[in-house]
Amino acid sequence: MQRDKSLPLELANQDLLSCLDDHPRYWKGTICAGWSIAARPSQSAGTGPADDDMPHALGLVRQGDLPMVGIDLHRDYSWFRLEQVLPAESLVAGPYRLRLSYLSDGADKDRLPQVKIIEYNQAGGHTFARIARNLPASGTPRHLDVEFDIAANALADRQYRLCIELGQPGRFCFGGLSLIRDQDGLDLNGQHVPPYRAYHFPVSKDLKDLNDGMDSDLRHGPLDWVVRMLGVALRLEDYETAGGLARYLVAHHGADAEAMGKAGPRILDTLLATGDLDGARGFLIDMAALGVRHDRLAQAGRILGGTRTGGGPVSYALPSGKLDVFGLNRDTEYNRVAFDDMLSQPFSSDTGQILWANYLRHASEADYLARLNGYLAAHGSPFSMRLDDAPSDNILNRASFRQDRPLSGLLSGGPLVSVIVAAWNAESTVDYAMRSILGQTYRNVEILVADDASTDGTRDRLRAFAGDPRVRLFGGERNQGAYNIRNRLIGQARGELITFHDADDVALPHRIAAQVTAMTEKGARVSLASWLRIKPQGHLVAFRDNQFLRMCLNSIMFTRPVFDGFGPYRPVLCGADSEFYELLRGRLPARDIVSVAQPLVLGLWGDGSLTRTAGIEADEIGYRAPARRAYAGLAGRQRILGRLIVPDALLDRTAREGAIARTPSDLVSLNG
Amino acid sequence: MRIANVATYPARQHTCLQALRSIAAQVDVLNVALNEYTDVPEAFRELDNATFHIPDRNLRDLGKFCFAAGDDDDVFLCDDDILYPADYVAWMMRLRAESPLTDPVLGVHGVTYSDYYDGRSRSGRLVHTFYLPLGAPVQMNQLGTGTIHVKGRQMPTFDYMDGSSGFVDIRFARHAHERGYPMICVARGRDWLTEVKNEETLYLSVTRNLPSQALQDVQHFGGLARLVRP
Repeated sequence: MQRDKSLPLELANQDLLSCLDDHPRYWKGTICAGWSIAARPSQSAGTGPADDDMPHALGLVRQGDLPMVGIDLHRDYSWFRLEQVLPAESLVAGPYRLRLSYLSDGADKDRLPQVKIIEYNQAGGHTFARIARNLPASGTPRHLDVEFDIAANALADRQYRLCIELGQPGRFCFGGLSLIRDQDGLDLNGQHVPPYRAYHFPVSKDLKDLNDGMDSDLRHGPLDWVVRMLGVALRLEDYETAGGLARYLVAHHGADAEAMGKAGPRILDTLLATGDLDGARGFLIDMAALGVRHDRLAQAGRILGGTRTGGGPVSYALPSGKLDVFGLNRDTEYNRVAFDDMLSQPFSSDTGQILWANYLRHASEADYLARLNGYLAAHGSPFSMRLDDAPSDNILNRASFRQDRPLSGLLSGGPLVSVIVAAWNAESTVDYAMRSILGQTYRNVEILVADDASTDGTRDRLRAFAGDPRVRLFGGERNQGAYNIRNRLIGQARGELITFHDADDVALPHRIAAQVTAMTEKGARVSLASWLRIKPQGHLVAFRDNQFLRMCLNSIMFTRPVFDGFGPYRPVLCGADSEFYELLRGRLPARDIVSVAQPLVLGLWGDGSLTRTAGIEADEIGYRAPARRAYAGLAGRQRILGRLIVPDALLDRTAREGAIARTPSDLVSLNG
Repeated sequence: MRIANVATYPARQHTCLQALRSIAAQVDVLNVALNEYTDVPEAFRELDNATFHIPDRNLRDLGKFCFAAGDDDDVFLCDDDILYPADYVAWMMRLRAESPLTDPVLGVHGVTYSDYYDGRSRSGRLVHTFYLPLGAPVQMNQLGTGTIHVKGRQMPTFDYMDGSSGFVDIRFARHAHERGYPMICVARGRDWLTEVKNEETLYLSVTRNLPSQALQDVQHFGGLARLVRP
């Protein structure tokens, strides 16, 4: 699925030259194969007969041995573009070089010629890559040789054109045009551009500042530099690097209260992520001795302090005055909060609904539901949740939804959505997971569900859905993990849009409709839903950032060209979805990704969930299992530095060593 | 025994002698790898304590790693374009003897990389250049192999270094990191060491064309995170 990056992209002006002769011609639209003219006259331009008849002329001009394309503009244009269509399949992210010889006699220095690549979609065009601006006037051939970066792969459903843009009256001639993709290779004069410099990853600006200012900044006191670099490492989930930076900070600045005031929270995050709870306790003691106070430190003190015994009313206020939602919520789970303590907490109405739901769960299921449904309603859900009376140790097995308010958004007439489900040992959850997708208000869906060599009754459970014409069943003989199954089934999917659903999660009935509607309205190519994580007994999970509602990477929905351009998922057991999403986030324009900030999925937060599976687990405190950390850190490093510096072979080896690598294998249809 | 290792090649024949004299006078044995030579140049024969080796291929800067040393020998890795002050060897040995660190590698030219180094020469690196002053010793990721002092037992094998021609500093730093040898850039005054000017230096050709293997090596040991061990 990787594109052939060795393919050079060379464009020449031979086609254009060969169709010109010494006589000027006047063109509108297509000139020859691949070349065309597009123009918008300036409103202030004259409209005399001569202008109407020959606003421009195009012909062959010879400068010594160099044949050039000559363009004479006889009037003023807002823009006049000579464009060549580029083959989208060859236009991939990376460093490029444009060479061009030109002559220009434009006098207006504010409106000099420029060269760029324009991306066109149905709605129009926008600049995809700026190559050269303000080409200065020159009476003799001037040779332009410019390096530039293309920040994102071209997409198959768009058209790309190399464009020489003029505007003011006068003559412009060019020849020797070539656009060449630089081959992989590291030339420290700037030809190799690591991805973080070419794309807009969340860490790009920080890392560029840090690297470019390193020599100077470190000579003048490394503290701020190291703290910022620690922030970059944490955002990349590179906890090996974060751990080293944390040790450096403690070793060099551990006794400095001001320094620890800056660095302390990030050091603590690192300790918690690596599961070094003793280290975290010791660090908190040291910080307390230094008098360092910070919300995250105070919150961690509550986490690590064990069960509170006795005492008066409990305050969950953090040093900033904000509420420690995470700490309070954990105490509600274990029924450790007194009613009057709950009453005295400064909830926001939004968060309060869930905190009360979790609190009231111990006393009354009806009250629990009322609060949870209040939360859903406040987030625009037309559905409320119901719980039936059948006994189950998983609340999602008892969940159903009732429509309380009119539906909005797309319900029919939209594109076919392929929903891919990978199920492994999910006999106790896959029924409700499948029903929740089959019960979607958006009807134009197909479901491709694969049993991933389960050892329980999952496959039999799935066969019960075979009668539904929207369901296509698959099975494999060897367990290969959800991401390999995604890659396989995307090849089988018929939908214009592709999304996923986990075999132990519940999608609210309007999930697909909400995501398709958001993409349609915004013209986006990717959408994500939000979710609430819920424990089997019904407790809703907050994370250490004090948030309940989180982006749901499992729900990512994209157009097929997005997968063709950025897929496939890596053949590993965990982390490939966040790796894929971060790639999209860095490389696609922001407008192409839309997040639906509504609770559209209830994700099971149980021991059987992938995120909770021993060996690759992650938890709400921030802990990441070693294999997950090792792989995610390296993937983050590769994402920003590129494959030349962090080769795929290294990631593959790390995945194998962490026992999270999975070999793709065949899936066969079970529909009979 | 005090041993100095250096590599040179014909284009440096007239400029390197001064450098070789400056270090030869301070050691028991000066090992010289003569890349691209067919015989020992007459001018070099004045170096009484020198042994010459003409490799069967151009080893470039790898040449200084093709000599044996005893475990307790004091080895100095040198360049053919640096003038070493008269107190260089004695001072470096004294610093090493007084160091509280276990198995330190001492050097005069040090580099610390960004934790996410992308290969640029003017970005993502803190460089303490050998001819500039440094007020206090600093632990760094990498030391230039033209100014290094180690014990013989700390030297990498030639096989380990082979393949790193053009980036031996990086490969040596990886070796030191893997063995847990802290690399210390020593304190000194301005121009304690000075450079013999040449038309073309290895440094230029190396830093302008750093191969991807070199950058992959840097990922193993580079960054402030790697300066403090767990």
